[in-house]
Amino acid sequence: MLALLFQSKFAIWKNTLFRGSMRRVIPRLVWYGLSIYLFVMVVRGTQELFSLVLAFFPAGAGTLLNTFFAGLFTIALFWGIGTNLNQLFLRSDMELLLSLPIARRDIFLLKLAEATWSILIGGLLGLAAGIGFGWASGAPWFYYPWLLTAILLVMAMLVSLSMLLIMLIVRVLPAKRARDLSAVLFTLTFGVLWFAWMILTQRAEPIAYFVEHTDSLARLGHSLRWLPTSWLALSLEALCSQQWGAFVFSATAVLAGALLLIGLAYRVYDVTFYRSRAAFHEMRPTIGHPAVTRRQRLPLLARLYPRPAREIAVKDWAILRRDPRWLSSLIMPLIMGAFYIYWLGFQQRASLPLGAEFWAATLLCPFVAWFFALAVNVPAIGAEGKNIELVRSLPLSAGALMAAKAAATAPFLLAISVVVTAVLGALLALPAPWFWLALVQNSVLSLLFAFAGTAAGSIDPQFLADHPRRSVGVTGTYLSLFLFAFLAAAQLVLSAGLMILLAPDDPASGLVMTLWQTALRLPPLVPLMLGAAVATYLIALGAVAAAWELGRRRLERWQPGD
Amino acid sequence: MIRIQGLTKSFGDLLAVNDLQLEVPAGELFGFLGPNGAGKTTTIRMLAGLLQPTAGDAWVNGFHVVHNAMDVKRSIGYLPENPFLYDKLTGREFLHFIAGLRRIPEPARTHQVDRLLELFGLMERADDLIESYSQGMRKKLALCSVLVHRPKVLFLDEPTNSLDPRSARLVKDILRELCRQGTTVFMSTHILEIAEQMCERVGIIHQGRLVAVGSLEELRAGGGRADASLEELFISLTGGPEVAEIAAYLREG
Repeated sequence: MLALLFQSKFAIWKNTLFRGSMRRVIPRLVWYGLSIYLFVMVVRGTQELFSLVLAFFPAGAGTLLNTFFAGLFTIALFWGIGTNLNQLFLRSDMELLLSLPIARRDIFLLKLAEATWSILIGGLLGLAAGIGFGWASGAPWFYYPWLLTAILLVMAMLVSLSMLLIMLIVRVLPAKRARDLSAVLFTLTFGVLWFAWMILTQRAEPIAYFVEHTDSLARLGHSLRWLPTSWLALSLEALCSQQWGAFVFSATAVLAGALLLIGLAYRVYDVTFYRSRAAFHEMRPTIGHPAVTRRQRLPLLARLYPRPAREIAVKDWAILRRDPRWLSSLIMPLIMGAFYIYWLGFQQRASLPLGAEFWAATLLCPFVAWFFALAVNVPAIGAEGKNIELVRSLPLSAGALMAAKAAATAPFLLAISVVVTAVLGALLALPAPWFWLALVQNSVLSLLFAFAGTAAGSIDPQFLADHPRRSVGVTGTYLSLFLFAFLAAAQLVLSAGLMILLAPDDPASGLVMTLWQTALRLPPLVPLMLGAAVATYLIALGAVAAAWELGRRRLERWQPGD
Repeated sequence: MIRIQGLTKSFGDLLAVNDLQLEVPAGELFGFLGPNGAGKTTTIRMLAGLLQPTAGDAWVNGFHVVHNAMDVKRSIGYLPENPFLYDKLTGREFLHFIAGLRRIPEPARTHQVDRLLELFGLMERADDLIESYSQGMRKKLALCSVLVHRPKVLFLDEPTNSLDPRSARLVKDILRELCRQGTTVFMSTHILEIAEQMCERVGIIHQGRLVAVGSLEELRAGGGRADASLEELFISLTGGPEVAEIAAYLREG
C-alpha cells in the first residue's frame, strides 16, 4: 500500500514537471537546471571555504560545519512546523486518504516523506556543505554514502520533531484557538531563531574572526554539541580523520535519535491524531457577533481607496490576517527590518567610513520592502487560486485587478520602509537633507516594488497551487527579482546624480565621484552624471511598465482551464 | 435576451461545443440538459464572457460575449457548479465584497445583503468564516452573490446540487419569481424533474451538439411519443437510435 501511495506521489511530481504546454515545462526544467548549478556552486564555495579554514585553523573546520548544520536545520525545523500543519490538518488529500482502507502507519510515513520533501532545500544545502567539507578534507569514498544517509535521517528527525510539536499544540489547546496559536508560535519562534542565526553567522563569518577568536569558536562548538545536528557533523569529521570509535558513537546517535523521534512521532500520531483532527475541523470560527454588526465596517485606510481597489483591499487584508500561510510569509521582511536596524545602527555605526552612512542606509533598507513585496505582491494574483474564475466573471478588468492588488499592499510596504529608514537614519545621525532623501527614495522604491512584484507575478501565476508560496512560477519569481534589483540600482544611481547636483562638496558625494572616475573611467561632468542617472531610472520604470503590460495581457487572456 | 449563432469551442482536438444555434427570450427559464461532458459548462462559460469561442457569435442582453465581455459581466449573474468562495471571509464579508465590485452603493448594499442572507436562511451564520459552511450553505451563499445586483440574465450551472429539498424548493420559487419579473434564467441541470417542473423550454446538448430544443410537448411530438417523460426523451436523444431522426425533425421546426 505504501509503495502505491509513493507511486501516486511520484506520478503527480512527474506530471507536474513534464506534462502541459512547453510554456510551462521549459521554465520548470530551467529551474531544475539552475538548482543543479547552484548546488554545484555551493559545493565549490564550501570546499574553498573549508580548505581555507583547514589551512589556518584545522580544529575550526568541524565547528564551522557544525554551526552551518545547526543554523540550517534549525530553520528547516521551524519551516517544518508550518508544513506539517498544512500536511496533517489543512491539505484536502488527507480527507481522501482517511476515507480509504489505508493503515495509519502508511499515512504517517507518507506524510513524513512529504514533509521531508518539502524541506528539501535545507537538506540539499546541508548535503552540498557536507560534500564541500569532505572534498576539502580528502574524505574516503564511503564518507559520501554516509553523508547522504545521515542528512536524510536528520531531516526525518526534524520533521518528526515538528510533527510532535504541531500535534501537541492541536491536542493541548482548544481547537478553536489551535490554528491561530500555532501560526503565532511558528511566527515568533521562527523569527527569534532566524534573528539569532543571522547575528551568529554575521559574527562568525570572517575567517579572521575564527583565527583570532579560537576560544570563542571552541566554546561555540562545545555549546552546540547537544544538538542532533552536531552528531551528524561529528560523524563526518570522525570519518574524515578516520577516528572509528568517534564515528561509530556519533553515527549511532544519529541513527538512534532518528528512530526514536520517528517512533515517538508515530506513537503520538497514532494515539491522538484522529481526535485532534476531528476537533480541529469541528471548530466554528466566528468573527464578531451574528446579526449585531449588520453594516460592514470599513477599515479607515480602505476609505482612501477608490472602487474597485477598496473591495479587493478589504478582502485581501482579511485573508492576510486570518490565513497562517500568509502570516508566516511576513516573518522574513520583519526580521530583515529588525536585523538591519540592529546591525547597521548599533554594530557597524562606528566602523562606517565618513560619508558612507547615507549609502549604508539606502543600500540595505530597500531589502526590507523587497522581501515584503516578494512575500505578498509577487504571489498576489496567483494566490487567488481557483477563485480567479469568480474574479474574472465579475466586471473587473485585469488591469484594475492588478492595480487593486498592488495598491492593497503598498501602504504596508511604505510603512515598513519609512519606519526602518527613519530609525536607521536617526541612529546613524544622518544630516537632515540626506535623511529626507533616503526616506523619500526608499518610500518611492517600496511603492515601485509593490507594482513591479504584482506585475511579475501576473505574468506567471499558478492558480492550481495549494499554497500562496507556490502560486507563482519560476519565470515570475526570477522576473520579480530582476525588476527589484534593477529598480533598486536605478534608484541609487538617481540619488547619486541628485547628490552630485545638490551637494557636490559633501563626503557622500565624494564617494560617488570616486566611484564614477575609477569604476567607469568617465570625466566627472555633472550634466553627464545626472543624465545617466535619469536615463537609468527611466529605463527601470520602462521595464516595470513592460512587465505590467505583459502581466495585464496574460491575465486578460486567462480562461478557465489555463 | 440570449442569442447564439454557430457557437463553437474546441480544446485541441476535442470539439467541446459544435455550431450551437439558440435564442432565449427575456423572462424565460431555459433548461440546458446533457450528459456529463456534453458541453454544458463550456457553453455557459462562453456566454458568461469567461471563455473565448473558437468560432461563432453570441449576444447576451444585446452585448457581444467577446467584444463587450465587460458589459456582459455587468449585466449577468454566473453561478458555477462548484462555487468559488473565499474560505477566510465570513459570509457577510463575501457578499459585501461582491456587492462592492458590482458597485452597489451603501445603504442599498447592506439592505440587499441582509435581505438575501435572511431569504436563504444564512443570517445566523453570516459572521462565521465560509470555511465552516456546509456544501449546501456554500451553494446558497454563492446564489446570494449572483443575485445581489439583480441581474437581467442568470447563468446557473447545476444550481440545486448539494441543496436540501427545502432549499431546492426555495431556489425554484425564487427563480420562477425572477422570471415573472423579467429575468432570463439559463440553467443547466442533471436533475430532469427540475427541468420538467420549471422550464418553459429545454435544450439538450450531446457531444457538443444541440440535438433538441423546445417545450416538453414539442420534444414529445418530435420523438413521436406523446406520453414520454423528459427522462425517456433525454435517454433516447443522448444515446438511443432515434437521435438523428428527432434532431432532424426539430431542426425542420
